[in-house]
Amino acid sequence: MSQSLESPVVRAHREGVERLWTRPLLDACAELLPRVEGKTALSAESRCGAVVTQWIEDLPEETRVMALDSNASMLDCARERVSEAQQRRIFFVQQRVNALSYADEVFEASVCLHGLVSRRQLDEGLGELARVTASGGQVMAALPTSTSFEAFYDLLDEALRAQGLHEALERLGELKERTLVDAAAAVRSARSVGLHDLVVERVRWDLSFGSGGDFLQSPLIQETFFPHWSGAIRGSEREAVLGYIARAIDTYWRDRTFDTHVEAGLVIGRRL
Amino acid sequence: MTTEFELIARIAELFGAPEGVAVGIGDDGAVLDPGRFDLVTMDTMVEGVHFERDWSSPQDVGWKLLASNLSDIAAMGGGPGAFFLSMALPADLDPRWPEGVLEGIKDAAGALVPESFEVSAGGGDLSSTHGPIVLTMTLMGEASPAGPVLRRGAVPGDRIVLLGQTGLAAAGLAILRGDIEVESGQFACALRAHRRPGAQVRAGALLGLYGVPSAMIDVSDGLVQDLGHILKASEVGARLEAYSLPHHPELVMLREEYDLDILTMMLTGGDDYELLMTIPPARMPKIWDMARRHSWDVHDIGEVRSPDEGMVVLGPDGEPVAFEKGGYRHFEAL
Repeated sequence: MSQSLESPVVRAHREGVERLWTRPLLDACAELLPRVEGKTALSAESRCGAVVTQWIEDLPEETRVMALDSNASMLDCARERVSEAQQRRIFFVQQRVNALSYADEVFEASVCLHGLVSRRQLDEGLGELARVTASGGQVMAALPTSTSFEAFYDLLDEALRAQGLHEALERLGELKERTLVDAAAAVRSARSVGLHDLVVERVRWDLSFGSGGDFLQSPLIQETFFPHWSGAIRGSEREAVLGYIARAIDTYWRDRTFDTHVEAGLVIGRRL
Repeated sequence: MTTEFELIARIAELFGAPEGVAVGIGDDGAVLDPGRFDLVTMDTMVEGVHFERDWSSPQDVGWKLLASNLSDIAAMGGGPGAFFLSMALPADLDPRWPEGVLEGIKDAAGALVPESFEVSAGGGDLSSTHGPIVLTMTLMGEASPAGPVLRRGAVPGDRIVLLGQTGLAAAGLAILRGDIEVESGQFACALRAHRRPGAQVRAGALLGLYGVPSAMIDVSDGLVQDLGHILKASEVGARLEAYSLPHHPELVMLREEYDLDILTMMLTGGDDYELLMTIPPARMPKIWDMARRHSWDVHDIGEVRSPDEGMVVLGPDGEPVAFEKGGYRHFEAL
């Protein structure tokens, strides 16, 4: 595909999220992707197709996969990337994981490795995946846990104090408590939607960013962090806070890369 | 008459080798790629029953034969693939007639099938007959990974949704039969609807992919009768709001100028090849979203009810109407 025709959102995903989140996650968990005996499987929030193209390689020849994403450009990119043989087996459809239009118990297994970053999204997404997965089928979902990017929260805390935004600090604490997910919350969510034989794996890998700006502008950070704290800080105060964090990273990690880590919680359960 | 070999050669010439067929024309039987097609439908057109040579060209007949098969696959929420064609032809038939049928099929494939599907001939058979012309097509298809959409999935509370308009093909037939005399060039849509109907190929496949309908059927026997097929298979009842049905401008003109009973045509006329489906209320926003995005002509025309209610059709005034052969009347008048 021509780079010049690639939409900004697709490029951001491929160069940011896919490189820093999807690939490391797939490297660690490819063995855990559900094995499907039957005909159909679901890959939700498929983005540019990295997960579904890897998954389908291990699925029986007759298994077909419905690959969903809410972004048409991402789906177009995914269509371009799949091989001719895979084109017959992967069906791309524009749809969100939290509002699937499929009937109950249609798919033999379902996977979602993107798009679930908050507790509410996990509850809704897992609920929908469990609903459309057939009895006995596996559901697999991944999301960043609350232990990811710890250094960022220390810096954010420092920035808010430095700016005198004590109310925002309180709101942020409440927001983190309410939205970030740890292993226990993931298990609770999976149980609440009727999943059994639960396995929760934690996958951790290191990331390095060249500067504070690189870190804050990374699509991965914007997808995973911003939803958690943007609601706590007023729009008029964000620029100052971001500027402080970027300068702090550039100061504390002067002449070094900003090394941090991300941890993914991988929830695997079976629908009774 | 064209020999079998000449006709098969002509089919092979007109239609390329279809995808999903490992061995097609040229052997005793076709060999399908394993795991490719999981839907099969078959439609037969008999001269004097389904068409008349007086008012339908062979191209029209070929077109309609494919359209009716395409519509069946669409109604299963799938996409079409290879077809197999059988023709029983009188020995004294002009050889250009079967050629015309093939041309009509080719034209219909070009006009009705989106680029994402390939409809082509996997094989054929030709025999002579002392009776009327009989054409049979078997069309293969692929169901959505979300599963085929069957007639038996409707549950009480689902909405009844029509994609397209009904009654136009019946009006066209009435004109062609001479039931009413119209001026030349009038009612082109009605005549075309009968001679060269459309088929909701892309819509059916998309609806299957999105898993929106709980049950679906194509309107080939008439709206009421086809809804009845869904209700019987799903063991439910329904309330059909006839006042919500779309009125094509040509139908309105036929009622106003010729006093034609267009409600009966819309409710009982066949050969429309539109899609009739039931949709759970939670998925209704999806159909409206798809309708807006794809410029579909979608109409919410009723509700699935409990089986003990049977099928109730509410007429234009909102009062229940009953149907008899050839028309309807108010319950009160029964």
